Amino acid sequence: MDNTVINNNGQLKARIQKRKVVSNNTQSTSISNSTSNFINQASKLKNTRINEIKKQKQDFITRINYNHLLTTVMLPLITLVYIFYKKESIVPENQSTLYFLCVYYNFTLLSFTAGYHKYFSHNSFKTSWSLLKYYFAIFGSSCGLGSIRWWASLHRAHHHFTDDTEKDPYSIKRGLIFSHYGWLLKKPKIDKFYKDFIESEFPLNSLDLSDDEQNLNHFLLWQQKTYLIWFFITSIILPALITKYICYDTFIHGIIYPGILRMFLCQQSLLSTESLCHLKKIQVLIPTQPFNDKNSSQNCNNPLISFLTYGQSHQNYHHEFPHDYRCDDSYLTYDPTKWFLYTLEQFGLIDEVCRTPNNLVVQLKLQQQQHTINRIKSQLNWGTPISKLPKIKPSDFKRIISNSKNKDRLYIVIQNIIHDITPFMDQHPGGIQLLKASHGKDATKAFYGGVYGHSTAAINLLATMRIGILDNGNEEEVWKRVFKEEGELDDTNNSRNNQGQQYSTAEAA
Amino acid sequence: MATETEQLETVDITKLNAIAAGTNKKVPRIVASGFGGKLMGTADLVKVTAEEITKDSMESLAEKDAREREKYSKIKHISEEPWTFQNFAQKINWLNAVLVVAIPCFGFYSAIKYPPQVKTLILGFILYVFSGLSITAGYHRLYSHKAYDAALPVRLFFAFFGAGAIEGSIKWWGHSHRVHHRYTDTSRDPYDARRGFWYSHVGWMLTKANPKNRARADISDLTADWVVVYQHKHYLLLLLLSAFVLPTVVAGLGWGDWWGGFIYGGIIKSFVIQQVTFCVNSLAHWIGTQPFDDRRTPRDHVITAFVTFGEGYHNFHHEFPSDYRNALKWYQYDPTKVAIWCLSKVGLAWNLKMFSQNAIEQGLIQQQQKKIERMRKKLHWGSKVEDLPVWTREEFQSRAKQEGLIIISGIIHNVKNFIKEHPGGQALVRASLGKDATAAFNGAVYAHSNAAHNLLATMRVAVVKDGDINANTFELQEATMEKEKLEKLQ
Repeated sequence: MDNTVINNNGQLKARIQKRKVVSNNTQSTSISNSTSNFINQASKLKNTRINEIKKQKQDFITRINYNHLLTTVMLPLITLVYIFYKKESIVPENQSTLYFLCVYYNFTLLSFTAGYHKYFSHNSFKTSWSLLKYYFAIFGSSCGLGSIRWWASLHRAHHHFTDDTEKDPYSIKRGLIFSHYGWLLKKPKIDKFYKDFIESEFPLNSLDLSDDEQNLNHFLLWQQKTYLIWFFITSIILPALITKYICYDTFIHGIIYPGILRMFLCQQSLLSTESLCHLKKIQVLIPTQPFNDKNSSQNCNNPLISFLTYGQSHQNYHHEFPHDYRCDDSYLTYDPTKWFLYTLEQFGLIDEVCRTPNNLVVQLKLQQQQHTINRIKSQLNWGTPISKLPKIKPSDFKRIISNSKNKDRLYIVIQNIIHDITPFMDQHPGGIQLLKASHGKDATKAFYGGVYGHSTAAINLLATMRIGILDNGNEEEVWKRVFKEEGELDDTNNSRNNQGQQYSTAEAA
Repeated sequence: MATETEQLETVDITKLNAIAAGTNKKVPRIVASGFGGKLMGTADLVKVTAEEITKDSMESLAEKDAREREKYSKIKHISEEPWTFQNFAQKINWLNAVLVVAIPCFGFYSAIKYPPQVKTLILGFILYVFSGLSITAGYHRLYSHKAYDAALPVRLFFAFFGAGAIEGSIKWWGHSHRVHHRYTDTSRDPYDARRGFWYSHVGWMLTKANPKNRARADISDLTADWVVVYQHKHYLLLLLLSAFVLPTVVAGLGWGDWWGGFIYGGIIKSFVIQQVTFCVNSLAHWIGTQPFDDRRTPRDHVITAFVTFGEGYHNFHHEFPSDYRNALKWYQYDPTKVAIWCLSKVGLAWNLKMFSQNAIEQGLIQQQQKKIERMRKKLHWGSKVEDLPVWTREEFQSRAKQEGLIIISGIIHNVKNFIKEHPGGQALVRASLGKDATAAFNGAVYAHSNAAHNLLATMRVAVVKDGDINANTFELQEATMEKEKLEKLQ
């Protein structure tokens, strides 16, 4: 139809029209093409998404760590339901069961903190007494947080890659819930990485290792294989038997109280060190970072948290000095693990206990303080640096003063630097009269003791009011001051680097 | 050198001192009528001229000491003589002794005989708060430091109830307080804290002052206020009215407790306020922390703050005297600040002065830096690389196994005592004895922490003389530096 009309109107137009039509056609086809493309793509996306979701659903089932689901969620949950259903009390009513619960809680938790954590993860001490190793391995597994081999290497990974969202197994960056519970229930995506990591941390057939270490690694492998057996013995059978035959209570109470509820408490104590003690935001915990503010670990100074985490709330110290058998350098900190290990050392059961020298702790504290001070310093106004002030000749300065525009302003020269005191006039504690009397004059001597020896705060305030250098030919003094002041500033700005220099020479090589 | 005409005029310090001391202009002398003029006054302290002050402050301490030794070698003022049985009566300022010691003693003696009524105690407490606030918010922050301006009714309130604290008139109090701020911790300071707790608490007031320590401060702005002039002139009358007559009459007419009102509402209340205010001069220079400046004695302490209506953050106050606040943080106790702030909201006070947060934080930071430097000096950071002796490789090899030496980045470290403490186990260290462990230390085996580097620095023994290694590292450094430069240019 269109073409006939075009033919009537002439060739040129027809061409143009044709072109247009063609172009229209091409456009429409391209549109249709693109729409179909879009549809194709969308359907592809949809399919892939569906596949992903399907996969995730599959993953969801395969990626759950059923061991931990059982020990950290199902067992406590079932117990709690049982308690509420049967209307049992949450604390054992039998006095001796309660005592046994308390003793057993400390007994198992100590084997975990001293054994799993300090001995196997951090090598804080050495022991020649093999019974101690068995105590750590067997009763440590009653907390239900996995075998030594698995937990210790994950803990090492946590120290090595703190705050890395991928490699840190309980990274706080992935949220509080994840760092508390999620990491236990969900197998990590980089499963292979961790498997290799475990192998490299506790190698079985390495020629570099001495016999002792070989034996230890094989011991750990044995514990890993027999972990579940030990778990059931120490957290269910043993407490049940003891409750029945020593405390004269029922089997079921033994399983509930010293068995599962105790395990639950232990778990919360241990897990909250990695979650709560890495949280900066909750001020109730009173978090501080006296040693290093470059990672998320916090020293939680709230004594309740210290009690909850069994004395391990000083995570900032622990992350800086992981090998230390203590969790803080203070003697007064609540830290049962420290007391336990100290006692063992006094009895000669362990040796080579690692203590950080006090000098080192204070050094690091100072470096961190310096770091924070520098940060605050850089945010404050210290006045224009002298080297960046304009030079003003005395004659020009006099002209500025006599200018009628500046009638209400006050200019005072101190140490060859011109200051515009106008904004501070009314605040001067010594009164405005003194300032007015020194308007346009050199008041160096009066400022530094002739009338009043001003405080550091006054000198700081003065620096913020600098407007120029008086160019009276005596440059040497000015540059001396520039060197002194700005050198200092540079020093403070780079002092971290200067600190580094003590060993950056070491690193440079 | 610049020519004479180009040189800037220097201020005349004598003239400035005259301004600061208030002797540059003729001010009509305000004399209190009758006996009241001598109340709490210590005239010995103020008869000094600006010339003397200037001369004094400009000469070196040695010169000053020499001059004074000469001047007082023949004649001695009574305050310089040792205490003896013969002269102790002369050394004491009896008027102040009566006001500060004798009357309260009488009050306590009567109080033992005469138990208080609850209503009278409440009245005493209310008057105590009124007088206390008049001293801190009125005498101190308004008049001495001009930290804000206040409306007439407020000033009248301060003048009347301030007189009831029996601490002298505004004129006298403000003057000595300004002198105290100008000459803190010098012999001119009327309540010189260096002379001990009791001297700065009451001693300065009970003994006669040494005239060689005279000082002055300009109070022309105080004498320009008719409230101050009136209060000074009729101080005795106001004192009696506010301190004694008012509580007696209120308690007497209100619930018939004339004698109790006089003792509890009058004497004991005044005694408490006096002691509390003296605490600022003594306690605030005695206990606490120095977060802003430790060159002088003022200190911050919460106990002082509780005792003195919030004047306890004294270190801050001496650094920033004309700030209307004393406590900066919300949790610090400073009811005076709150009172002034409330007055300003009602419109009875205005022009509240505050130093910039910048200046305040600067002070805090500088003091912290000072403390850190001090701590740093105490610690052992290892000897500097420049100070170490230079050993040859052969020397190192011959001594290495025996003494437990390791080379890390060209520096020889003695690790013998450390082997046992090494967190990564003894084997690693033992294996690298007598070798260059630079790579292992810096990451090949384990990337050591900051703390480890610090520790290593303390074990330095010597530098290896090794042409190759040193030259190599130097060249490497040069090369990387040049690379960086090029990158910057691009």
